[in-house]
Amino acid sequence: MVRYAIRRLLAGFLLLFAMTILTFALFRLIPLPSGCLVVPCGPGTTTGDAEIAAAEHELGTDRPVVVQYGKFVWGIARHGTFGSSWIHGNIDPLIRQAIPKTLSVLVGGAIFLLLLAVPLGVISATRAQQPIDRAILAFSVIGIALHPFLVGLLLTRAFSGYVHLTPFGGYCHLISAGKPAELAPGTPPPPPGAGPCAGVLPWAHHMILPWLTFALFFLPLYTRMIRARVLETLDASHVAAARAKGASEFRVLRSHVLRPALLPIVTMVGMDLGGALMASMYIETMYGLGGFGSIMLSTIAGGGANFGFDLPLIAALFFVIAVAVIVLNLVVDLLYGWLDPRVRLV
Amino acid sequence: MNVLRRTLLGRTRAPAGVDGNLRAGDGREPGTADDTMLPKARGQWELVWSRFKRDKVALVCGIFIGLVLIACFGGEPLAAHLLGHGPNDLFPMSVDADKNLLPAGPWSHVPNIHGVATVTPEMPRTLFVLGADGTLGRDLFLRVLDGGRTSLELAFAATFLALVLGSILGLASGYYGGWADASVSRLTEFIMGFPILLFLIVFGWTVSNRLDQITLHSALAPGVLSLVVIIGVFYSFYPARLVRSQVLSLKQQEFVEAARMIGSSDIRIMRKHLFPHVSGSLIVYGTQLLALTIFLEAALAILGVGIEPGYASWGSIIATHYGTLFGDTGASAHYIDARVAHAAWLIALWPSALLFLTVLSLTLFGEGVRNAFDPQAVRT
Repeated sequence: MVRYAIRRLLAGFLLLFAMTILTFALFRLIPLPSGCLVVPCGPGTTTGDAEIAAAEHELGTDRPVVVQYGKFVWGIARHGTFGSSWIHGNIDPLIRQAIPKTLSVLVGGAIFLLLLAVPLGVISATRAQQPIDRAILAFSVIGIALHPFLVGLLLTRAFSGYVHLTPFGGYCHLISAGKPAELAPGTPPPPPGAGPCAGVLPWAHHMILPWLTFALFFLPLYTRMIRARVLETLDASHVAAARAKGASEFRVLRSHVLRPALLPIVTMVGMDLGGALMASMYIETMYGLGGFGSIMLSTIAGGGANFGFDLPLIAALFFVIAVAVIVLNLVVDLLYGWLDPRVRLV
Repeated sequence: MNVLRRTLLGRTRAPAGVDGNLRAGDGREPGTADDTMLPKARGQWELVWSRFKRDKVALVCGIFIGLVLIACFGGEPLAAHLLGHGPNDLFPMSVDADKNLLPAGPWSHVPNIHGVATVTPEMPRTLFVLGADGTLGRDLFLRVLDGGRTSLELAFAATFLALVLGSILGLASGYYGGWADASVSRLTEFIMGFPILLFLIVFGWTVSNRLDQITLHSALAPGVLSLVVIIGVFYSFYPARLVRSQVLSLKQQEFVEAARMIGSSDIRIMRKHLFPHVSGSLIVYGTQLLALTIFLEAALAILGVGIEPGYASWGSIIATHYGTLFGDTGASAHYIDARVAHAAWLIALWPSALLFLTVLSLTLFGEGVRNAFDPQAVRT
């Protein structure tokens, strides 16, 4: 088990290096001088070559790409910092403030998703081919065909616009940091006297719509997956044996059906990080939360007239996500080996 | 011999008739065991088709997808020819400047200023079937069809690329195992952890835009092509996993061993003996991927990183009126006039409805194909 984990971690390190090298190498292919991100250039501007060269020198892009890559890796390994980006300033605080927001969306959303999907899937499976199963099936097919963005818009409209139950957007810190909540552009400022919003309740209040949106993103797929797994397990002989022993239907479901049926869900939750991050990109944009998704979008939206292509920031993003992927995959595999004694990790 | 054949046929027909009365998708295939006794065995595709035919919902969905394809690829040029204007032509007169830039409504004849020297009340008019698409005054009907063409082109090309790459990767890693398998599996897990949007933004949008902006080599990267390549490569990892897991169990079976024994090459075994077994699940996955890509294009457009501006796609038409589908939130808050907001709502409704129906049809169609290929599977 330990050897397995070490081998996986080593493979992960290799992938990490490959990913960052690829990022740096690919961006050397882009024909735009990086100085143009800092000083205006191109037709119609008066910037001279010397100024562009000076800007590039300041960014460090006049040196060979190997040196730049070395500096990036050294910064992480020696100082634990991503250094400074080209247009967005220091990367570390940017990423540090984004992590709790994105984690709130992902973890809360995943819990919400399982809370909705497991009961629905079980109801659907235990009453297979009955009207309620048909209804859940129909809803999930429609849910698959509805664009998630539109679902989110509908939710915001319904809960914030008409019922006024939830705020339009913005994020509240779970633990008070003395900082005011960041508001989405376009949302009205909070009423005077409200103060900086922080704490468990305001946090949950602000997050409930994003969580619901996240859950609805994946709900149809997971409901159907759980339904299929439960149906399969209900036919297994150990379930018949449990029933024959006189176990109550609830006990059969809880201990004999759900445990084996939900095992692959663990893998799915772990594997779906890419999809989950994509969903959180939408959700953060939609609700103005300002997490990783917003940073990703801002990597292309800065720098005035130029396209804000920002190599250190993008490399840092790739690095953080890659680490998360490697760790999560490992945790899921180890967890799986622990949950299911039939699986042997070698 | 003839008598024997006739009795055999007669015997096999009777239960088939009985089975024909069973509900579709009952899970039992009529007379599979008897098929081997028929003079001519029915092929895999014939069986699949005979099962698929019974699923009327899937059949209707398939027909609908066909109609959408015909309308977008064939109907759009035809309609443009008949109406006498293209999807990107501007008709400023179709927007009412006196009513806060209210675009022309459905089935209106708008003044055609093209080729006219002076603006007069008697100037020639041209028909806008669904009205104008907003303040720019383009034909919404043609743009919806043209946008569908772009969206579907993107979806089909990317799906095809993903399936081809994925089956090659999956066959190779599953069949050879060992080192190749380990590296493909690790890479798959790793890549799947990344959001594809990040790849699209970083590698696709930025690169192609910069190429266009700097070198103006339009032959090199029209927006759609780079999207196709990136989406196709990224999503090829999913079918690769699918194919790999199936090949892992298939390659243990006797027919593969037999093929190897008579001296078939690895390539031939993969192509002739393994691939036909995975083709069914590849088609099913393909329909899901089509739906996913159509969604992805719309999402990209809504996030503002889609195909190049100026071209129509379902996503870009929705994105122009982003937030208008359910009222006046978001970017459309600037609509001062309720009537203009209502018009924008209608404009976004057409591509949204087509998007919904197409993806719905693709999902149900894929379901039907899955059941036709694997009638014993638990229906999900």
